[in-house]
Amino acid sequence: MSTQAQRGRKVDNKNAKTLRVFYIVLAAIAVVGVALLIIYLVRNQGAAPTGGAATGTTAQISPLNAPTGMTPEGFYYKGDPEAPVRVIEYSDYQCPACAQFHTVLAGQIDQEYVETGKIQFVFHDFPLSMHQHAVIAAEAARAAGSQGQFWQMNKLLFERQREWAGTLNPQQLFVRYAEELGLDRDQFEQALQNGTYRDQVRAAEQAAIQVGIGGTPTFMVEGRQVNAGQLVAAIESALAAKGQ
Amino acid sequence: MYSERSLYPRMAVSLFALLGLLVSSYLALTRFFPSVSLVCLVGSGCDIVQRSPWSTIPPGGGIPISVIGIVGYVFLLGWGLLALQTDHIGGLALPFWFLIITSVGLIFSIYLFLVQRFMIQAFCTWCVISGILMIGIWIAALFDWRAWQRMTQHRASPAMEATQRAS
Repeated sequence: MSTQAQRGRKVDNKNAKTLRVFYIVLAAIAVVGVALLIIYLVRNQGAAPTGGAATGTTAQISPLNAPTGMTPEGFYYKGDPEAPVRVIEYSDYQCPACAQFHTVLAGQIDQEYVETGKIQFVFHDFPLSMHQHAVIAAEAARAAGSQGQFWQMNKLLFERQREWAGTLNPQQLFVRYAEELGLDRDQFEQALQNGTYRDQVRAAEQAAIQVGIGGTPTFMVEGRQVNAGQLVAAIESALAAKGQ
Repeated sequence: MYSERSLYPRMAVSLFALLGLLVSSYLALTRFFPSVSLVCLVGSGCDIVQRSPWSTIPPGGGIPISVIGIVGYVFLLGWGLLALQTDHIGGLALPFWFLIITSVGLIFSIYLFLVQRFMIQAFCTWCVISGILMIGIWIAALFDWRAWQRMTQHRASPAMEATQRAS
């Protein structure tokens, strides 16, 4: 009996030691893990947009004075068609990076280059297959475009991406946005339900794949592919090349 | 002859639960503070799973699954640490109930796997890792429960042990 008790104590001692080591290891893992999470958060906060039109709570759209319309290829544009430089944005309404561009940088591009007649800015749909609602969102923008409000809906869709991207059926939200913009609700709803613009969106997707676009947003500045971070520099150098 | 059952399964539970907690915390962070990448690459799973309607319970705008994961793993971690100290709370036999509870967690993980496979048709690495950790926790809970069962049986009747050995 006494030997068993002794043995039991030995087991207890050994267990206590094992446990102590285990708790230290566990605590170390917890500290490292929390540190990594904090690093992620700090890095992300640093890169996050500061200010700008990222709030997305109002449908107030700054009026665009530059001419708008549709290219012969069937894409909406803003800015003078005769502008020295043409910028094509390959974009997906459900892509977070695209929303980032539209809420942070697009306003500046509009003011400095589109309104001043320096560039013609073309929006080329490129719904990525991984984004379930990207096609219907592109259709919604085109449905609004048929009522003369493409760019307004385009802006609204990007600003409110987080609102509609996570829903099972974003169509109802799109109809609400259309009403906010003062569009004809029935006409808009019909266009979405009938898939009036689906073929156009699909064709745009195929065209983007054929050009070899590897992601969204990608910008074609005078035939050169650049990302959002390189866009302003690319526009500047293209303008410089044209003697502007 | 009686010996304490191994601590390792319960240690594994605590360890996996801690890792699961870190993974789901990361997933929650990426949800509430999305990373500001410059581009969505063609064909990448990017954040398709996390942004899909199925990333919440109920689907399409409920509680984010990452938050459910945090709560669940905190609970499992607490239980795992507690189980290293004691086998009973009141009349509750912890190893038995832990197996039941981790089974619920396992079923939830299977649901999440099926949703990724068939509804979203994409996998998110960290979600899969979380699922694997949950399987690990369940297996550890199963081992611990069996060891505990054997231990209590031995304590209850040495004769039974003899018959078991003989068979």
